Amino acid sequence: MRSYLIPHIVANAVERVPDHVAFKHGADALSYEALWTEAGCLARALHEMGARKGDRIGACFGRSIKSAVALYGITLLGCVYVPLDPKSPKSRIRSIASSCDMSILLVDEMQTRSLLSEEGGLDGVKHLVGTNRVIGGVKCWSWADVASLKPIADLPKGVDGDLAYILHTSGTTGVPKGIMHSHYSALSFASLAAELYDLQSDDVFGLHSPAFFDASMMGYLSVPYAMGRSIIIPELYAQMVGSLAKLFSDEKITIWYSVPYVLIQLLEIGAFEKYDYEHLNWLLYMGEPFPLGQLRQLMERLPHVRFSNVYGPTETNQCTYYHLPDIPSEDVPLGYVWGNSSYKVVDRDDHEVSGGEEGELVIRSATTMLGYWKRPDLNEKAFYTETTDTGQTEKYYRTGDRVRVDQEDRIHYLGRADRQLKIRGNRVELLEVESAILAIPGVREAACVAPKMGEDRRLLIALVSLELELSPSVEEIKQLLATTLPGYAVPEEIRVVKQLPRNPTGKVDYRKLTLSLTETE
Amino acid sequence: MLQRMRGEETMREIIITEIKTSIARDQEMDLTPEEDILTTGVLDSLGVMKLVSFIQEQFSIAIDPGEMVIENFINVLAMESFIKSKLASA
Repeated sequence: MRSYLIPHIVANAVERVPDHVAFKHGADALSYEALWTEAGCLARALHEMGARKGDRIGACFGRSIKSAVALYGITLLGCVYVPLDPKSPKSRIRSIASSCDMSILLVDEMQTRSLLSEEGGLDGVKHLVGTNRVIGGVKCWSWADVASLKPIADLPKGVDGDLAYILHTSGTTGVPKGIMHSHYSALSFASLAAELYDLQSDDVFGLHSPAFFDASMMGYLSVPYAMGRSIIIPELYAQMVGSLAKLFSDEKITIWYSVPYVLIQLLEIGAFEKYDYEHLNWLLYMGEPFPLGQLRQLMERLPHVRFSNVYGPTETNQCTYYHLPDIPSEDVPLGYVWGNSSYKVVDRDDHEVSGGEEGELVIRSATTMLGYWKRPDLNEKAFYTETTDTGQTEKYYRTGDRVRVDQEDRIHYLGRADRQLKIRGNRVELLEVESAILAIPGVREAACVAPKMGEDRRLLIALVSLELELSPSVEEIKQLLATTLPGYAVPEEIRVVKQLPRNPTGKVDYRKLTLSLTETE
Repeated sequence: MLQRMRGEETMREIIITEIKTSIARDQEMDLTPEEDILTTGVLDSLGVMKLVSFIQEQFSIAIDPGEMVIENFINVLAMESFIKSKLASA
């Protein structure tokens, strides 16, 4: 059977490898058969709560095996899966729940203490799944209640263009933006990734990203598509790198996918000398550029592993890949656009640039979102549309990322369009400043921000964290930067911090970072 | 800086107070030494890092990143015995 709806993925696997473990999280493991049954019971429970095709159902889980049950159970009923971060402020969850007209929310009791507190409930939420508590006005269902129901086994009536899930990102104004993906964009992503990394049923995938981030979709969709196994890294292990190193080895992971920072932490504790990673075939990283020095060290430690840089805004799932041919001596490109996709590089006036010039990457692909949830204003701006000679329209997503294409057709990342600023009249690319700081021995992490200090003045500030053994002083850093950067691009202020604020995937959190600057002033 | 070996209650209390005031920022929270603080969402990853820095300074010990294992940080009790073993071997 060809998969065209998300639940087909598991239905297919059940036919071929029912007993194969699909997801593992600590001591919990779900075979494809068990996953199918649990998803069916959840679909039945949702139906009894009154959910119907197209309804949005919230799934408030950190790193949890219930995320897999939620994704497949919700879509099995033809409903829309909306993963939420249980640790995000209640106001944010409330705002998403209300904008999505959510009347049912799935929770992990352990991870949602404050959310479930009596005062200030979630307006409109009538049913909570995953808790035994008694909360006034809300019907609570335990997982045991759900499991006692007769599972739904029929696939929903629907087509692959239907809305399947909504992922939320912060949005520049702080209002969450809901990115809508269809079954088609999800399945396109699942099959392209399975093909590109040659995923097989004996693959074991290290799923580090929590379910509310798009990077988790490779583990939740592509791996089951290939009938492999995803190891959901428990929250505990994500926080304790010494334990993570051991789990990574013990689970015999064959393909690992995370932000560079997680790998850098493993490198720093000597994980690759201490434990055996002989089963590892692929190391995929995403989210931000990999600092070159640390990437080189990592590749030297793991000569048998293939490294690949993954790039794609949440709006597109993934759009480029670059398998590193050898240990790099310069910045790693984003690489090539993958299958079922095409792209252009355009200037500020939307004209395609000529070869080698820089511009914004716009992308048209099968994996691109339907649009933003209830935001026609954003949808208008997000796409670049072209009309062909015969009247067809071709819609490209504007990535907001500046790139250039080299002679080998490789795309190079030059930074976010909104991170290229004028400092005292000079154009400064913050990413470039960060790379220059990271190249200084003894610097562990670096992040630059340039808050507005007045009408037309910005203050260039760098936050750095240093290695213990070799710590250059702020003055030394400034002097070294003066030899590699133009004077106006040398940060006026360098602050040494213990570590940079990072989001739950381990990516630098610039919003938090900027807030922390204003807090202390 | 510790001038003298403090009693067990004190070491626990120092850590609990730090978690409540600076990390979780919730003075009212009910936190026992046995309570699992890693899985219950009391500490996120940044909170863990903050707490590790605090412990290093407060008790004058150097925590090797390889010692960042669940067994040493699962709750305040575990942290206390970990800190003690570090102090004893120093």
